[in-house]
Amino acid sequence: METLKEKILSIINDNNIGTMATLNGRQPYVRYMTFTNEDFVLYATTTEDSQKVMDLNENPYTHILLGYTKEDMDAPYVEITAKLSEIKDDTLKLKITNFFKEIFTSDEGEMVTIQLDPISIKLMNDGEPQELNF
Amino acid sequence: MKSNKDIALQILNENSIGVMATNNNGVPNSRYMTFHYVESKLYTVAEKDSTVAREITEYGGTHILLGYESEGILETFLEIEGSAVTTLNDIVKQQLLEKYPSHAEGDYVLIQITPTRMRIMNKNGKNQEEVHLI
Repeated sequence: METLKEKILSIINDNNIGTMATLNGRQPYVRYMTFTNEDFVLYATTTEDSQKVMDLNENPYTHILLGYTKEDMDAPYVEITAKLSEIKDDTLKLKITNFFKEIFTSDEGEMVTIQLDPISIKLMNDGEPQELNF
Repeated sequence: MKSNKDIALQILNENSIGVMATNNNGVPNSRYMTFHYVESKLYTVAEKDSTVAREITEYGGTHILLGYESEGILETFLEIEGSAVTTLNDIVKQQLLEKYPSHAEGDYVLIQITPTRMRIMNKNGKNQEEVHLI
């Protein structure tokens, strides 16, 4: 029997594209993002001067939906409340940046890699919502 | 060749499931909801004592992503900035409750979102154009 942690980790590991909401002042914004992860910590990439980077520098909190697809609307997915943080390990930072470089090329400017530390993760569509706190 | 306006209307009229982001006491929140487009406004339902109903009463600014998925990947979608209120438009509420009979068991409110800005996005994020429907 899978534990809550295992179920959540499996969804995060298996899904790369999700939505990420931020606040610009009081106004919410949400967009699709590609994520990678090391356990429960998420990483994403974006252009340095993008709106979402500016939003996160003002308000580091974000809300992410990962694992939902219209192809299987009954499948479990996760809701993640996370906070912007820094990648402290240089080796890890290089590994993640290179991972994204393989996927994205930007002629719009410098790409930055952001780390998002989970605060709480809710498992949805699998009975009653269950929450994992960090 | 379909115009952006045609594509936008097609997406809106599909009664599709989208992501709605809100402000939850200074932290972003988001969830999947089913939207219906009636007379230039978007409608969705939520339980009267739900978090989303409380959030939009405190701050009505919202942001919605609505669009097509093909093989799990979003092709073209709409980004809608709007202003949300709970409303007593009984006619629309009745129509929605008829479509979703399971909702009739709870105490549901109708949420009305007036779009203030709409953009069409392509999955590569490069072709972002503002759409005016009125």
